Amino acid sequence: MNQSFSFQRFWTYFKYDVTQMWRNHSRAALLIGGASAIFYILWVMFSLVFTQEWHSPMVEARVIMFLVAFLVLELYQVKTYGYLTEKKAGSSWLMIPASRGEKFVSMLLVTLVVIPVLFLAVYLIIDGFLSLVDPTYGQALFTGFTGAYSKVLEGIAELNGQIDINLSPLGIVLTTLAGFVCNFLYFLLCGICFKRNKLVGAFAILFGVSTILSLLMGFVTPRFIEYFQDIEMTEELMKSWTQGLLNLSMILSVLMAVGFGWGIWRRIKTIQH
Amino acid sequence: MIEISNLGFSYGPLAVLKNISLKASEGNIYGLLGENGVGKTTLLTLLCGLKKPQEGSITVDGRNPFGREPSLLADQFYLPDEVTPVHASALSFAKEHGVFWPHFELDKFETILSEFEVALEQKMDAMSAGQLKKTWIAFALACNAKYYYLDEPTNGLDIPSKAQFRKAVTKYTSEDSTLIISTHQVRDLENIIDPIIILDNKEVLVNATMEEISAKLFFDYGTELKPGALYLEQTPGGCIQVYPNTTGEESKVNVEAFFNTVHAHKDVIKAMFNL
Repeated sequence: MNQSFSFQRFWTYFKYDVTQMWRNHSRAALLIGGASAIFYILWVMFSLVFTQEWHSPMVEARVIMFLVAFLVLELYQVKTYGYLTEKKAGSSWLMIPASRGEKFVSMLLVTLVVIPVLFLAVYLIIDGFLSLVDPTYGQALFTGFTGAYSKVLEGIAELNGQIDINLSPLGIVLTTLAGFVCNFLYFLLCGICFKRNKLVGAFAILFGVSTILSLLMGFVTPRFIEYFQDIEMTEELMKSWTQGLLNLSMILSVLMAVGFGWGIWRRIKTIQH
Repeated sequence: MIEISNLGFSYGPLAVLKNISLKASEGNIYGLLGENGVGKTTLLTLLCGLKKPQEGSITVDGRNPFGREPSLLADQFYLPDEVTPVHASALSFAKEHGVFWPHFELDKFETILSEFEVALEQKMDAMSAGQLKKTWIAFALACNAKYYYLDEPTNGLDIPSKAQFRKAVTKYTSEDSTLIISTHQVRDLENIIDPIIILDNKEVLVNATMEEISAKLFFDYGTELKPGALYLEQTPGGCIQVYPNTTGEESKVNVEAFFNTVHAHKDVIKAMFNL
């Protein structure tokens, strides 16, 4: 028997994991995914009560609502596998005959693929349905997103033309994705590390890290200003700085995602009950 | 074969197990006895790999339980004192969970559960504590594991269920299975456990079979008080006296009386059992 990773056992475990996830979190997932409908109903109700006219939420409000729902989904990751720190459910999970590797990969797939895809599907289908049945609702977000993506690509092309730097659209998309992955993995890691007050713990760490970074920035920024005063900002330098910052941002996102992934792996390996 | 060698475990500064060594051979139902807080549950969780030994080692068929290798996990089942109320019916739970144990038998699960008089379709998170425990016991036995670590399995069971549990354990576990059952309720299990391991104050006081106990101690259920008894307990119909077996005469071991004897004369018993 392969003790590290068997695809057959992984597939069995993954199906089990998705089933358990659906069983325990489907209501919350549907609630977060269905936020567009709840928001729509509230908006229409308020407009009927206060203006006696039928008004659908404006597109900016819908985009903000989508971002808020997505943020809630990210925060919810503290809960999806949070049961691992509970003595009863956590012990039961550890004793399932599957390897750490299989459990880890399944956990990542559920967190980074199954849950976001389920959320997007539910959210955008409901949004699309509202767009179909209510003529005042406007364009479905899905078509808006594809339009927005085209605009981002155009904007990058324009920027590339203006200051002649090589901003890869793929790089931008990957950086954004790495950011999402970081957020999901961070809250997942906090969920399986903190026994209680998982969300409070997650925010406490963020607060601590941002405080330290602020102090560091306070120390570093005056030196940067001194440096900039002494050098002449040329277009060439501007290009190299912009490119460098983008690359750094992407590298940092990837490194953080890898770091959080490693943290999750270590936690699975060392957790005791 | 389970081999524990110089095992030590502490919760912070509080040492629970220290320098524990013992072997558990196949095909036995071990009764793990001890007062509250002596480390019975800790030992079981170390055996199944939920905890990592801080000192010494544990091997189960040559494998380290904390490695949590799938092959070893598939060979064992740990039943905690408090079990998880899964948000599913007993049948769904067994179907979904059982696929990980290669020898799991759904028919066996259904049979044991019907003997326990628990409905297959009943949601586990709507069950009483006793029904939930019975469902997990039925599931554990249906896994046909080689090693079972059962922590207070009769806690929460009603009187008929305790008898059904004893019957199920003897009927539905294979002859080469090894069970280690920790319990306070020795009367519930005294007819099925053999050998007996008694833990006390971080160490193993006794690890002996009923035959060995009976060879070394005599359990007298008569009414006449005899001098030299290590333990004496008045009962409604007479008394139980335990004294060293100097004549080689056989007697039925009363596990509770034995436990109390061990606690009253630790050094004598340790010397007697060469520990």
